[in-house]
Amino acid sequence: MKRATSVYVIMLIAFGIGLWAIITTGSVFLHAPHDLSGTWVLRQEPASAPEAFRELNIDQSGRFFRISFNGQAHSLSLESSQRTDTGELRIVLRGNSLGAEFRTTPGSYRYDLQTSGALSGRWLAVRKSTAHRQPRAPDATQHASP
Amino acid sequence: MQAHSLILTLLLELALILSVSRFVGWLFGYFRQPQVMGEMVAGIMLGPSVFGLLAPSLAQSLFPPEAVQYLSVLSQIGVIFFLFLVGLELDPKLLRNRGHTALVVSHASIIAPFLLGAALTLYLYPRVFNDAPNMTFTSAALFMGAAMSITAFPVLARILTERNIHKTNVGAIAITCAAVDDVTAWCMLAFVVGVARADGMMPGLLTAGLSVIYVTIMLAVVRPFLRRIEAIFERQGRLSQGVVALVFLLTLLSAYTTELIGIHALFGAFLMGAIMPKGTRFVRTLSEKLEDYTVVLLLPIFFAYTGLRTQIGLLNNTALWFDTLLIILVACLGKFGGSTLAGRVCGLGWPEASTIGILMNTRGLMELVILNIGLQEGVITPAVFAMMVIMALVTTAMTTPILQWVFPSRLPGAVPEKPEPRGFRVLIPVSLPESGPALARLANILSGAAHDATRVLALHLRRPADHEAYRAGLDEADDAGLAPLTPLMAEATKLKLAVEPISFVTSDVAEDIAAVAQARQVDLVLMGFHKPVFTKTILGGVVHRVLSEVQTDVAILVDRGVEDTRRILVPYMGSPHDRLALELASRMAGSMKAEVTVLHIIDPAGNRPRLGAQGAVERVFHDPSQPAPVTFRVVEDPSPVDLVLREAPQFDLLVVGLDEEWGLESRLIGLRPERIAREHTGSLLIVRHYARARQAASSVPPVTAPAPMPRV
Repeated sequence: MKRATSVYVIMLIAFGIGLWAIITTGSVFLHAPHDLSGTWVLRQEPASAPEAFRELNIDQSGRFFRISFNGQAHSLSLESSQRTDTGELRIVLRGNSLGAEFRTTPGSYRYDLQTSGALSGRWLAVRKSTAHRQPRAPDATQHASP
Repeated sequence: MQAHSLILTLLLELALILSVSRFVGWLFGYFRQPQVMGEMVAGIMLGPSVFGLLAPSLAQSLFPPEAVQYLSVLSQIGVIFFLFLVGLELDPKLLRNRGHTALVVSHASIIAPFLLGAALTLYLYPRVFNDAPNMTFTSAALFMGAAMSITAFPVLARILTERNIHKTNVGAIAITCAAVDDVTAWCMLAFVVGVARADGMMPGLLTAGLSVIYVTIMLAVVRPFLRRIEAIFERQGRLSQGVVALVFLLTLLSAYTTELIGIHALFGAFLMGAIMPKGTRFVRTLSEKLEDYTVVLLLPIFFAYTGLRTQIGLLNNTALWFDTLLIILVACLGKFGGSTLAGRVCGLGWPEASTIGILMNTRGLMELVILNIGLQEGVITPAVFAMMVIMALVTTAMTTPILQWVFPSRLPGAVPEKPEPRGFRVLIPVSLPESGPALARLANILSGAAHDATRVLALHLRRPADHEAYRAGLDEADDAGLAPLTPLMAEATKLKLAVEPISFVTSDVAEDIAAVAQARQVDLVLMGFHKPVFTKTILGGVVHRVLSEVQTDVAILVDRGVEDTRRILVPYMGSPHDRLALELASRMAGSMKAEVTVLHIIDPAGNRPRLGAQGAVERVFHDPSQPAPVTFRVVEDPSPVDLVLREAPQFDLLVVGLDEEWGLESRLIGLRPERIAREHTGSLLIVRHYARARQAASSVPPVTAPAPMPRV
């Protein structure tokens, strides 16, 4: 067999095995940070608070976030993401000017959000639209309405 | 936003995009970078990373979300037709019969970066990807692999042709590899999009099955149908609007079908172009009809839209910049390393193998197309998009300078085909074919009595074809070659003058004329005159650069119908260039038995020193083997130019040396020849001496001893 042919065959085999190994390893062992990207509608808790509704946008690239509201953008990064014994998901984001803590239960589209810094308060958060192709939440405004 | 206001905004946006894109593209071309690279950068400059950062409110008002939606649609349509053009340019000949080396290297240049890209996802996935529906690890890894293994075939081919290495073994292998990569990339893209969109095994299998049926129909039904359309074109001899509309319709339907199947509209457009009949006038005419709108207008919109989506500001910490650097390193390692090692294993030397590796690392615009799809499909995050855009720019930008270092460009014709005897060597750069015969006649006259020892090189330099974004320009580089030299060669044959024709693609005409002149050690560069459009001076542009840069004597023929050179006038003011004028006139006189009149002009006020003119004439015309009748006249006149203009109509040719102060902005060839060239109605030869030109400005001592000048 010519040298080039041997190299070619070895290369193809290595490619097949290598790609299989990578995809299997990644799919089994690796998890990307929970997706929070998109436009969110916030309703302040308690509902009688003077500033009842707010909208904010979250750009997320894995552990790195940019939250924009009122024409201001704040950079945050993922501090922790944990599931409690009850299945509740708790995500803490930390930045220089803003902090945020999301809590939700499995299967729910509603999030409890507590913010501090440039925007502080407790909110009921529902995603209005996602940055990705398939929207996950139903009509957000309907559910965020008091 | 109201409809009227929206249209105004959109028109302003398009004007801004077009002008910035053309300007930055030109700027990059000036610095020997691919023009398409400049257009990509222009797009990013218009986005939030530069324009949005510097003038946020202006950027917001120029690119409001309502108008950006329309840009998005235009950009999608632009990319669909662009991919159709890419498919149209795909030459199946490049994919066949290129031997083992090309096959191994091309597949290695896909496999290695694909594997490394997928492996890099193991590190990146928990950091910069989201747990979103389309962003599974499998989708992300396959996409990163595909994006890493892209090569921009047109940009690569353009780099090769511009450096005149496309016909070398290295060039041929690189072109084949890039063509294979091109086809593979769009197939991989269809696969990755199919995997990302498929929700489970059954939909995935359905997509795969439908894709096979679609490709089969395209090959078995649509391709024969296209051959019939081509036959209609051949019969009619023109491309009717009906045929163009039909091809566009088929393209849109093909794109629609693949989008519906789930493997993205772009694949349909590409395949439609790829199955068109190749190497025909039909395809060339069709692509000419389509390319200007697509490449000049729609593609910059795509770049701008990409720029608007590229948020380099997202990379706001060192960790993300480290990831960007890592992506660039892995991209280079995969493409460069894989191709180089495969080339070495197949027996290429290190310089050749690494040249292929460097070329294959060019990603260019194709990478942006794939990245936009990734972002649109939700397979990558905005930060990964920004990192990969930076990687695409860096890997494309680094190609030309590194290639220059590893594999210097070739100058065809720089090395003689066989050892040549040392004789009088003339290089004739020809731009306009119609100027060739006069230059051949003049070269013949200049060869003097030593006709056989004279070596004439005719050089035609071609500008690269436009639209490097999709067109490789390989056919232009091969075919257009020597045709413009045909009139010159015909005249030379008539005169029994041996001429060696040389032609190649250049990005800098003046520089390459100088390079060939130096490599072939020519004694004289003889060229025609081209009046520049934008300057007031009669000689400028390339001619002026040749005068400045060529390290040998130069003569510029301002041909106003010279046929028979029997009477020659040489105004003599004493500059080194005037002495060259004397020498050339002497050669012509020896050859044609022409009568030479040397007009030595003296300032009657005595302000101008006498310049030893008689001695110079005697030295030049002393050659007993070339007896030439020469008349030496000394005339006192306060205005030498007016005198020359009065005398010149009696002569067939005026031979004028440059002024010593030539090259100044206001007088590119000097005040005296400038005015003579502009006002004299006959033919003239403007000459510049190289060796003495250097000394002229500083060290030529004026002849101070005033001696009476007897008439010869």
